[in-house]
Amino acid sequence: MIERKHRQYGNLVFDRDAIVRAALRAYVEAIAGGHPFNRLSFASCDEPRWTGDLQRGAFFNGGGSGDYNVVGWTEAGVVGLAYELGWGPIEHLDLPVSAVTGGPDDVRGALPGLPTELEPALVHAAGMLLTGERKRGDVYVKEKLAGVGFWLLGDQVAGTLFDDPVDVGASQLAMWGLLQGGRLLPGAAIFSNPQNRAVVAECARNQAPIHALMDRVVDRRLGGPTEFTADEVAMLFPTPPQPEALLGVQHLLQKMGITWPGSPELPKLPLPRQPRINPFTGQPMAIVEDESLHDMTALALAQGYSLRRK
Amino acid sequence: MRYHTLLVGNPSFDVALRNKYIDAFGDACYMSEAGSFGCFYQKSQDACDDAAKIGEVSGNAPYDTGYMCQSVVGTDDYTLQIGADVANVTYINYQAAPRQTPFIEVDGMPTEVSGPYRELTEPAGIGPGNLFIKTNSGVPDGDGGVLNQQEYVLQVNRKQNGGKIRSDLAGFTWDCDGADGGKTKCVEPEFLEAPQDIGGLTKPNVHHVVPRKDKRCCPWGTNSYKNAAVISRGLNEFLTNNDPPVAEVKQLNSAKPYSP
Repeated sequence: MIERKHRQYGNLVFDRDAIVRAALRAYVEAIAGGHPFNRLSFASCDEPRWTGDLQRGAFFNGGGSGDYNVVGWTEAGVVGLAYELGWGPIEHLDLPVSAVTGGPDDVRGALPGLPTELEPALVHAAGMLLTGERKRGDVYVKEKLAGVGFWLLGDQVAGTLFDDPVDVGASQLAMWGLLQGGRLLPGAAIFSNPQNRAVVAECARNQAPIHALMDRVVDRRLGGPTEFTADEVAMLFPTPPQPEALLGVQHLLQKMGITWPGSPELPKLPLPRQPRINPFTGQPMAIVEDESLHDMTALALAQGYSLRRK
Repeated sequence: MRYHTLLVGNPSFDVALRNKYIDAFGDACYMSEAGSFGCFYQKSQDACDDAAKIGEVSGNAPYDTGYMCQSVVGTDDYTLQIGADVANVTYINYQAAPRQTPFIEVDGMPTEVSGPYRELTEPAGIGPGNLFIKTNSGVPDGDGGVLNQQEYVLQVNRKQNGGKIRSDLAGFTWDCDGADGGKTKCVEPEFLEAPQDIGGLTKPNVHHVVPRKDKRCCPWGTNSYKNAAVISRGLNEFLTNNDPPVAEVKQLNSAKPYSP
């Protein structure tokens, strides 16, 4: 754990285990608390994605308007990266077009002095970054999208989060140094006007029982795979969700070792037939063979997409 | 705070001169909402490089070259010698950059963006650079809390489209990758969250029509509902933080407004 003063955001405290815990909390919060269940106002994440486990993995925290941040970790430490629309490595980190690889090296400029021990964490984090096409002259390149970063190794923390006076996502990353009660706060809790912050705080007070439930479940999970109790399920979903939405939620949480009472075997997800069709061009898309197809299907179901298909 | 160069002439009123500066210095130069024209830079070196060209670009005698910017002691400002006399300098001042005008030129007219959510009641806390997701809409969520602006816009859209989310830029086209690796036309679908789209390309984004930040990374577009449009993530990434295309502004300004 290390505390470091940031010229804009004040004292930030970075702790590897606290960040991983908060990532798990944000993931659960986004799935069970967000649309369509709306159990929490001002959830800390709008679009969650997770890969790996609590020892080595990464969490994608999407904001729903094009901005996002990612944290990747190993036992050694954490790498955090953030993106704001329009401010990727070419635009902000002075990455020459000729040097774009579409891999982790694209964003290395946001992590000056990255220790070699954190290279695997960078790979985890960069794997979650979106890719953007940029045209310079007649040349098209696809760059990994992040414009600011930090790294944490033991009691060392550094990165352009601390050095770059221009905010191209720094406020998103600062939230990982401003965890409160083990929770990643929504940006509105800190970076908005006082009246707005008061509303966010009031909502958190009103919804304290749900927050407490999520904390209990997350803390149990940190000790190993866990199940919801029947009371917790009833509290989380006072109105039983549509079966497909529930299935999506169950798959997303099962992936993290959080299951329903009795850990029932879940029906398989109705994965889309491949190749999928590009919704913009009507042309077939590349075959997806990794876990992302499963996760995106589960998230789509959890957010009620398929219900509208009917 | 940005590095500001001293331009020659009066480009705030002289359109031809203004265009010369824009052609030479690109995104650094812009009209402010107060009606003044200037060039502002994130990096002092970029400002110095362009400052040395101002004489030539303006159509006056070129500045002498070969001099380096010198910092002004006790400030973040610089001077650049531009003639044989050491007193012949131009200044690069580190100062607050005025907000770029949010009016978009459409058919020669500066036009305010006024999209389909223009009739929703604006909450407190509207300002340049603000996010929809960070601002309380003041609308109850029916579960003891409130919706943020982003949730509210999506809710309004869903309710008035039979539970589906309709893109406010349905039919908008742009260049994108085809299946064969070449370029093709992408078309924004009418309804988002397309059943085939498990990859999330049509995930609804609440897009700032005038981008939240300008090309100098300064606050620009606001979180006013007038500046909101629901579009796919794919189109949002294409539009990124470029100046809004005229076709986009026309389509959104002519769209039927959603009612609260």
